[in-house]
Amino acid sequence: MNRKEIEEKVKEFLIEEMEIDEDKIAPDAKLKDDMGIDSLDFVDIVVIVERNFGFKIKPEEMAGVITLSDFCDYIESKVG
Amino acid sequence: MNSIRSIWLTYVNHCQFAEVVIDKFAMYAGRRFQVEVEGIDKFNALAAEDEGFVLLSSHIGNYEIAGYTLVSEKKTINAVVYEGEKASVMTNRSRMFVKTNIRMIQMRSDMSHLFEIDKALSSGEIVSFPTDRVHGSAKVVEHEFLGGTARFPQGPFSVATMRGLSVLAVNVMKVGWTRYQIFVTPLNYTRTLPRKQQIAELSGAYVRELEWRLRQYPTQWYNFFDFWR
Repeated sequence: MNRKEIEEKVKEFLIEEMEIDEDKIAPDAKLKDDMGIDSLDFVDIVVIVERNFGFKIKPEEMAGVITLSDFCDYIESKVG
Repeated sequence: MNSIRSIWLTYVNHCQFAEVVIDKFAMYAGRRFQVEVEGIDKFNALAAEDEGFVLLSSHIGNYEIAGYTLVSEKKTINAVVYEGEKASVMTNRSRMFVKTNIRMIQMRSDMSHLFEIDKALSSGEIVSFPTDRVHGSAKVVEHEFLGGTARFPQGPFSVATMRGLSVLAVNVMKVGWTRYQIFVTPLNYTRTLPRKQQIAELSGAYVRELEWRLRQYPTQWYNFFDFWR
């Protein structure tokens, strides 16, 4: 899966599953502050990522993930 | 309701709240209460399956009593608690609950608790959520509740529907000086609906159950703030 596919898949589930407004989705948007993703949303994101990308998010690996771009970087490092 | 009755019930409400607090510390000291459970078969049936499930509770009655009665040998019950819970309460709970296969997941600002929640559910365990206070999240569901529109946290319903898990509402009501009645109620939702509708259906079922219990026991609700703001 290439980067573009990852970004499209992430955007799709942010809009459809997490109900985030499309105009809030941008590479430099902060997951928590700009997109309003809170802690219990992350519980769901763990499931969504596993279903879509086939791996389980580890908490220690999420420490530096702040923006959407960081999140896609993280996924790319796992599936790329 | 006239003002005299309202004042009287408010007084009773505060007295019962004090009783519940005393009962909690009496339990920590080893006191046992008479407890009957309506719906224990529902809990046991889910506890016997491999899949995890969700318990929903509110600040009515004395939910803590359930921790000593709703016991599963097969599954650990993971009770999600707020970060601000008093240390003395947490210490006593930890000491008492270890005997009943219950562990607590404290919500933390570093979000480490969310991985504990996911791990528990993925492992087929039980996770219990407090469901009547919007705490630290803007994501809410709104329902008609006791004559007005009230907000409830969306998170617990979202977690359950994301995984298609079974959900039980658990309410523990004081029915005598030393007696409690636990009500275990399955909450149904249609798993084939779009997720947003599943959340609405499940949360609506929970709120109706909560309102039903409160109408039965109107002085055992312990939310002392403007719930309908």
